[in-house]
Amino acid sequence: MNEFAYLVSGAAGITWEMVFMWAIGGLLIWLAVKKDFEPSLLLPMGFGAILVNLPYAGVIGSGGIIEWLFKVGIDTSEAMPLLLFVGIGAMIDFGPLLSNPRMLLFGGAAQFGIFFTILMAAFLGFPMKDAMSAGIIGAADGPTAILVSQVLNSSYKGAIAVAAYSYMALVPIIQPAAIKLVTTKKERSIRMPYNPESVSKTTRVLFPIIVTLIAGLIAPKSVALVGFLMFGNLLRECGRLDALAKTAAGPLANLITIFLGITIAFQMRADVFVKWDTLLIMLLGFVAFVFDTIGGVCFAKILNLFLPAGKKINPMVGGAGISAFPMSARVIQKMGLKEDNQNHLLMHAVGANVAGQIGSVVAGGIILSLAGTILG
Amino acid sequence: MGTGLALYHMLLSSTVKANVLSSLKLMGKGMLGVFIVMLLIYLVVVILNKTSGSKENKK
Repeated sequence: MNEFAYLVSGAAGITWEMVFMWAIGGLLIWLAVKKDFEPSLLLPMGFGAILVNLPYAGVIGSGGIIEWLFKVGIDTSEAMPLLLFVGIGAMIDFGPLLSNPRMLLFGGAAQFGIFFTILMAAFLGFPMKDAMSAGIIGAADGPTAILVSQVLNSSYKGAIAVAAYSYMALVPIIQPAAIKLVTTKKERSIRMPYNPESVSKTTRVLFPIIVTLIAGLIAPKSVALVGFLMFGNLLRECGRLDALAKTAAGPLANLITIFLGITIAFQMRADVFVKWDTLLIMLLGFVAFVFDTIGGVCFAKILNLFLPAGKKINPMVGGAGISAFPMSARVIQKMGLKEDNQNHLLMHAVGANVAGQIGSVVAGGIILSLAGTILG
Repeated sequence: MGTGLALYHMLLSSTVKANVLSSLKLMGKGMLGVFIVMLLIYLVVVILNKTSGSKENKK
């Protein structure tokens, strides 16, 4: 009988934590397939969570492909999130922001949730490296969250990646509630005429270079994040490298996305994921998204105190200053139309939204820079 | 107020208190840093729009 023990050795190695992680994996796949929530990342992560939680899984341990991908693609160099940034940069059209640059300020204000969440996490007793990593969920930007939590060597990298992508998918539910909490119907009905200035090709080409220089000089640690994002954008805007820009925005981004999700699942092993603190991290991620939105909205309300009538900003546009593009801009457009069916806020919100993409990577870089002094 | 403060000191260990203080400093420095970067980019974009826009319009 012992000769057949190998047939049941896998089943005999199952623990309840593994089964729990299968359920989590199944939930992520269900959200991706049934609810269309960030399917390109939640589906690979969900399947990866099942893979790495099989007893004696051949994908982890020495020679295991997922462990190897993690070590090479994320642990050693953070290559995967950074390469994905080249693709994201090649996808982004900064035109709406360049023609209406004051939206940049909202890309800064809506990073408030990151720092508020760090404070909350510290208050709850998390060590600073984990508090800062939890806060970065508020960057509303998967690659930034993965990179910062990896560099800070957080104990909750898997939970942080899951939270970042899950809440990004939940932006259409989280943001309207947070915005309604801090605005009145009258404020949400403020009209904003859209009179964009024309943007020259010189501005479009110089923009990624100048952003890299400014961010790099003020927050040197942000150079990898900002630089790769802006490199992708330069490929797009230079007008001479269409084939490269299309490859970066298409095949490169798709290839990295396929493997990023399944690689991140390495951090979703039951032994590192199933603990009460993971639940707290997920809750903190929610706090981060809510306070990002509130930060952007309240900043717009403060600006309105100094703006003349007719020039006032619809505070909801401030809430679009997070990095979750284009979900956040769409949410604001929808909410604006709900209050007044002639109030089109989309282009303003798109400007704030792409500003949020710059703001989030700058915030990530600043946290990494300041971590040096805080963590010693 | 006094009771609240006493409770606060009782509940938080010295490490947590130090971390909360560090996070407050991080919040101040971090938001300031983000705003400085965004303001500088804003100024540069405004200058670029004014200068390069008018030049290309003339062409």
